[in-house]
Order: sequence, then C-alpha cells, then structure tokens
Amino acid sequence: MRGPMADTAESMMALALKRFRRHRLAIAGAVVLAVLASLAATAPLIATILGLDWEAVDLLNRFAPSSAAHPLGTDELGRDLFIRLLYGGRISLLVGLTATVVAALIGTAIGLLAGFYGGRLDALLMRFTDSVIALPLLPLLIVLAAVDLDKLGLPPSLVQSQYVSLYRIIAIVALVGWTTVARLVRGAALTIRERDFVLSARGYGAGGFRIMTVHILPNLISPVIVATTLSVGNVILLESVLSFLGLGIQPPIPSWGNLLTNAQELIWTAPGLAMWPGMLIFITVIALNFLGDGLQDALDPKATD
Amino acid sequence: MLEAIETSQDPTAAALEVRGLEVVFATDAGPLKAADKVSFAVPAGRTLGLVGESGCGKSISALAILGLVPPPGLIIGGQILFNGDDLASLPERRMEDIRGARVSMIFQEPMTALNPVFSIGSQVAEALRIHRRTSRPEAWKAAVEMLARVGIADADARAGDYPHQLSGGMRQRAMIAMALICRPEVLIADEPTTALDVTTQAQILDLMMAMQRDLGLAILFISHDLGVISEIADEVAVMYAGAIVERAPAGELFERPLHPYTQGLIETLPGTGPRLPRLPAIAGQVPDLGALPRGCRFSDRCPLADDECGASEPTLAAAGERRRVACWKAAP
Repeated sequence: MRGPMADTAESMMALALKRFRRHRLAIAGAVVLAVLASLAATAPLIATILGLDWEAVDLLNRFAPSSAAHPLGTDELGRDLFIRLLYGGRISLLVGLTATVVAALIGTAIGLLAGFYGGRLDALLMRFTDSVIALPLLPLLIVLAAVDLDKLGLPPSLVQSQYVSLYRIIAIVALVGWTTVARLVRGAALTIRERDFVLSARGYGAGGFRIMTVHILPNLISPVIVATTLSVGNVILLESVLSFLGLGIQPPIPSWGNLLTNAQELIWTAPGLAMWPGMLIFITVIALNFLGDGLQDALDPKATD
Repeated sequence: MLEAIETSQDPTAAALEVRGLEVVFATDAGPLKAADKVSFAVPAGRTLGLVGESGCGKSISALAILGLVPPPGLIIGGQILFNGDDLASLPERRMEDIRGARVSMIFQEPMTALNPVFSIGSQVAEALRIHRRTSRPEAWKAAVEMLARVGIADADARAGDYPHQLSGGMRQRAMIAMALICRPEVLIADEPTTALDVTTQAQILDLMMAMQRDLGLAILFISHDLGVISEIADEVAVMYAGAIVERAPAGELFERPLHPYTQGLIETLPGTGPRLPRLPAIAGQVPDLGALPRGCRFSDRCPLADDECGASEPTLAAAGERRRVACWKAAP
C-alpha cells in the first residue's frame, strides 16, 4: 500500500533533506560554513565599508589592540587582522573546495572505470592508486612545491602571477588526494554493477557506457559527496601545514595557514595573531566534519525516513 | 535427428527456438553444466512454462537467450533461433539492439530490478529512448501511456514516483511497462510473481495474458511454482539439474505427468482434496551439478530407478503426439 508520505512525489533528495534537517550538529555546521563562506566572499565589500585594505602597511600602528578602526587589531606590519583573515578565508576555502572537487572528479573517474570494467584495467588502475598512496606525502609535497614552473613550459603570465602558489597547491593536492575517492568509488561500483537493476538495464538493451554513466554513477554520488565534504577539512589543514612550512600560499597573499605561520614568532608578543587564524581553521574543519556526518546519515540509501 | 522432429512439431514458425543449448560454468572444481542440451520453442502468442527447482538451470537458460550469462558461465553449444538469427553467435553490439526492443525480460524482484535513483516514468522512457529516436517529452508521454496500459492508476502522477514509493505489484507493473514499451515479440519472465502476494500475483498474471493477447507476445515464463504455471502456460517444460526431462501441453502434463520427477512435483502441490497428514515430498536433494549420478540424472531420487537407469542416460524422446519425456520407465 502507498503510505501517506508517498502521496506527494518525493524525490530521494527531498527525503535526504528531511533526514538531514533532523541532524542538529550538521545544520549548525552548515550554518557556520555558510556564514564563513559569505564573509569571505564579500571580503572586498566589507573592506570598503570599513575603509580598510588587506595590503595597507601602517608601521606606526603595529600590534594595535582591537579598536573601532581595527576590529581584531593589527599585525607586525600594522595591517588589519580582521580583513586579512577574511581574505585568508577566501584563499583557504577556495583551495579546500577546488582541490577536493578536482580530486573527487579524478578519483571518481578512475574508481568507476576500475570497478565497472574490472579485470586487467581494474588491476592496473588500482596498482597505480596503491603506488600513489605509497608515496610519502610530505617529502613529495615539498618536492612538488619546489618545482620550477618556468622549466615546465608554462606561460610566463601564469608563472609570474602572484597567485601561482595558489594554483600550485590546488594542483598538488588534487594530484595526490584522489586516491581515497578512487578506492571508495571502485568498491561501490563493484557492488552496484552486480545489482539487479544493472542486469535489468542490460536486459532492455543498455550498453556498457550507458550503464556505467547513467545507472552506476548516480548511485555513487552520495558516498562521493560525503567523502569530499570530509576531505575539504583535511585539505584546509594540509594547506595550513604547507603554508606553515613556507611551501604553501606565499605572503603577502594571506591564507589561514600562512597567517598562522607568520604569527609563530610573535606568539608571546601578540597571541591574537595566532589565535584567530587557528580558531578559524579549527571551526571550519569541525563544521565540515559535522556536515559530512550529517550528509552521511541523510544520503544513506538504506536509511528509512 | 531429434532437432528435426522438434521443428516439425510447430509448423507455425516459433517466435523463439532454443536448440541443444549448453551453458557451462568454469569453476575451480571443474566445468559445471548449468544447461545441458536444452531445447524448446515458443510460438507467437503462446506461453511456454519452464519449471524446476532452484538451481536447475531455468534462469541461466533464460539469461543465455539474451546473451547475459554471468561470468564464468559460457554458452558452449546449441543455437538460439530468433527471426532467422542465431542469438548465441551474434556480436554484443547487435544483441544490444535486440534486447528490450525485440526480446525483453522481466525479473523476480521488482524492487532491486528498478534503479532506485530514477522515477519509474524516466526508466520506462529510457527503455524506449535506447531503441527509438524519440525526444524526451515524447518518450515521457509514451511512458505514461504504457504505465496506464499496464494498469497503474493515475499514471500521469505516478510516473514521477520513485521505486521505493510504490508497492510490489506496482513495481512489477512498471517493470512490465519497461519490458513492453518497445513492443517486443518475445517476453522472458523470470519468476515475475514469486516476490508478490497471492492476490497481486493473480493480477500480474492477468495483465501478462492481456498484454500477450494485445501484442501477440511469445512468453517464456519461468517459475518454480506449478500453480502459477498451470494458470498461464500453454506448454510446459520441466527442468531437472540442467536438463529438460519432460515437455508437454499444459493440460496433458498436469493430468498425466509421465516423468517420475514431474509426478513428484505435482504430488507435492498442496491440493484442495482431503487433507493429508503430511504433504508428500521428493526424497533426497537436487544433486550437485558437479556430481550428477551416472546414467539418468534423476536416478538417485527416483522411486522407479533400476540398473538400466544407472547405466545410461535417457534422451528426450517422443511419448505421444505432442509430448516428450526423458525417462526409461515412463509408460508412453
């Protein structure tokens, strides 16, 4: 019998949303992230309103405490910390999001091909994945971060851009970060391709490529979304680690990671300089984890409403 | 030749004819013959019931027709004649054009056989769009019409529903709509009513018979349930451990089964007669395909078996005008 719930056609997404709304921590995480993201997105506007500039050096006003002019005070060069945090958020969130999305796309493609076709292609792709996993991450990142982009034949306009360290870190993280998603997707594809609806789709004449993209891929989306959400936090942390080591986003462009690095010698002089970026990284990562947990529950196909 | 006799049996050309089909699974324990010289024919507008216990090779034979035997299974012999082509030797590319368009299949469990992330309307429409150049809105319209035709009330609205929002009977109706939207000539139904309750079962059988009348479908109906088979089938083939042991028009088979296995199956049906203290059962178990008894494959469970049965295997031989049976002991 059709239950009362089914009278209005509810999609899987509508049901997922309903389950998600019951997850309070996840809602809180989503709200926190939305606030942080919109603050970061509107940073230039906020800067104009407050009459502040993220690059403006004011050596007469170093380590200023918070005041009406500088809500969170100034740093060792007299730059406004609040605005630098907002701009840093733009970079950190952008790196986290872009790098994980690119990594998720690479991982999904590799995992789907391996899981769906199986056999030799599977063995080949999975051994490749294993070898990427086996590379020691930190030394690799240090080496990749030191690659001279001029010699790679990239256009000078890109190499000399002040954002080159941003592109570089996104590329590095994407190139090493796809393995988790690839394994996850492969495992899921292996089980989904044995499901009856795949046989049934073959039964009405669907070809291999159609089955892979139309029937298997949509059934993989939820685990990929969850894994991606959870790894955005890791990437933000990774970016801070790299920036902390001086290999990430290069000053004067602020990121939460390099704001933290700059603050390390000044921890006794101006603890706020380290505390604020550290706090933002912490809050963001926690919020992303709550959100990921909530999505995991909401998107679980086995969950009942 | 045996095959020659069998073709002459149906002077009206069969919509689908399987001749001497052999399917083997290569396992670590050696090759297992899941289908051993299976032969049958389904004329247009008729229903052949394929009966047998679980694991006797019914489903494998059906999947073999569509070229969907799962690895490590392999068709190693026989022909599957459809419209002048031998499906067993057709390349995959051409099989894709036949599947769904000319030979369709429906499965036992409509919940798992429908993709959970798409509405039933879009799945029916997809089945059409794979084979016909149709715009999305047109395919959707055709899908809604087909859903209405298979008895889904308020099809316009229901087409947007997802499989989990429908009852088992509705889902099976949607499966039938998917299978029939391209107007195939042959429908293979693998235990289509097994997962349904008895009332829904009857409705689905009625629907299949109605669609058969409308479209002139040849139906290969696979079931372990003799009751269901007796309602829908014109002819019945009984399978045991990979081989067909008896084939007869449905009425004759139920009235006077010739093979001891068929007799056993019919005796074990709970009847409406006087209540027996115990439902009879066929002694023993279906043998492992890797360890079939010598001679007749049913000899170790057969009440009539003697030395002759253990010595050589009986072949499917004529036993009356339209019947054949593979048994040394069957009185013609």
